[in-house]
Amino acid sequence: MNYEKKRLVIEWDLTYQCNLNCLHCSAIRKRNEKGNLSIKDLTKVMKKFSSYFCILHINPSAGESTTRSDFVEIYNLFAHAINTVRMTTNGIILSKIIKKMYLKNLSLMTISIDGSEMINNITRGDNAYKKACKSLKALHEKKENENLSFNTQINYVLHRLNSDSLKEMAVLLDEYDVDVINVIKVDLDTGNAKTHADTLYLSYEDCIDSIGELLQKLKMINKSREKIGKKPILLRPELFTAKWLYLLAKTYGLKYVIFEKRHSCHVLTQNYLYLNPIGNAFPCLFFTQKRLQEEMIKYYGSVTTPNIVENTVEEILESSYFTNARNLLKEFLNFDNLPCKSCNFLNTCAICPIYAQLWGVKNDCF
Amino acid sequence: MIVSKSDVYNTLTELIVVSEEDGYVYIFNFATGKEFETNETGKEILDLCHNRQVIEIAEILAKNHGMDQDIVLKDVKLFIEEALKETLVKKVEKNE
Repeated sequence: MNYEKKRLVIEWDLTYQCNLNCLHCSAIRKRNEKGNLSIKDLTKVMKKFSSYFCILHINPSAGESTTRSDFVEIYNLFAHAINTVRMTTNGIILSKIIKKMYLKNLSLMTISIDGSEMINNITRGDNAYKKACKSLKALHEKKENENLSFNTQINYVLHRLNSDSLKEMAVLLDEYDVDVINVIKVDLDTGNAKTHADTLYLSYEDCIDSIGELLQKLKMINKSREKIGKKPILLRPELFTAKWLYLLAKTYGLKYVIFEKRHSCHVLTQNYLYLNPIGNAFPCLFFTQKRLQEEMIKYYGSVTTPNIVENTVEEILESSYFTNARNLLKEFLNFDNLPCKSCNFLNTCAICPIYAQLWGVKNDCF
Repeated sequence: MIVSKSDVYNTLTELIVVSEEDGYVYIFNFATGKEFETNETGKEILDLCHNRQVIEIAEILAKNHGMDQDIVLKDVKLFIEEALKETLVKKVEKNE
């Protein structure tokens, strides 16, 4: 690592277009935002990152970057210019392109699978399971053959249709040496998930029971893995408030579960950029949402959104947009009535306190 | 903080989870986000920290394990000092 360089964390959705139309997708509206940067633009942008130690996460939130016909070229461009690359994908195309991808500085690959073959295909589309498994296999083989050191994770969006098949994932995780399964509570407030909310709704109690069942299976599998010198598979519950994490720990124990300490807000403490497909830069993903943008305008007036093609990284971080965003967050955090402020569990809750202030966390808290 | 034998401490069960698995005792503090590992005896002390004086805890442990009470008392005090630093227990004030 070059300690003289400043750290820069970038989360970048290269396109909002996707080759699936999942039942639980909460980002479907983003598809109306067309357009993305050309390889020529991206090549220019890479030079702007050269003075930083860059950690890039491709496809952190919406769309499917591998659907771009020039994805391999883009990925390899990033791989040679960026220090550490992380990537999230639905795994539909990955197996076809992985041989051409330069994975030396890949630190983490996350593939989405949401249940048994039947359930996954119902929620994600025909053959989605087989294709994702094929990608997992290809990834595993490439890692072994090229002696690579990246970690593999599975994202599992938990809802009523797939709650029973969560425990069945243990065998798949073991087969492909997956390091971590992230179990994410479905967000029913927007997109397809909102349309299918009645079908997908799962109570918190049932979520915890399903996660607990998987955990019990993992405990058995991990014992066998440890005997043959393999790393244990870990489980990370995501988008659950601390109340439910506490219940999970009380009921099913702490071993093999990742309970994370809340880090300070990266908008206030880090060099961090969320970039959308056309290169617009935001201090965090939440700032792409209208509600937060409206709050910022209400306090500080309208300002131009910076763009990574037009501006340097320094210009973006010091722009009026980013300064206003930091000031807004400081305002919020000083609110006496910020609901999370007096909570004993603030340090371990997965929900952003500003998100809770704006969007609420009904029935989620103590 | 110096722990005295007449002090009373309560484990903050509403903030911490203690789980015993495969011979190890794991503790996670949901207030601080910190995790710890301890042993059987550490778990026993935390279990006993409920409106008991430190000396009473030492008496129970010494009896249960057939050990010298003065030696056990020293260990209990040390453990509670650490537990206080990590917000695992809280001192019960005399007027509470």
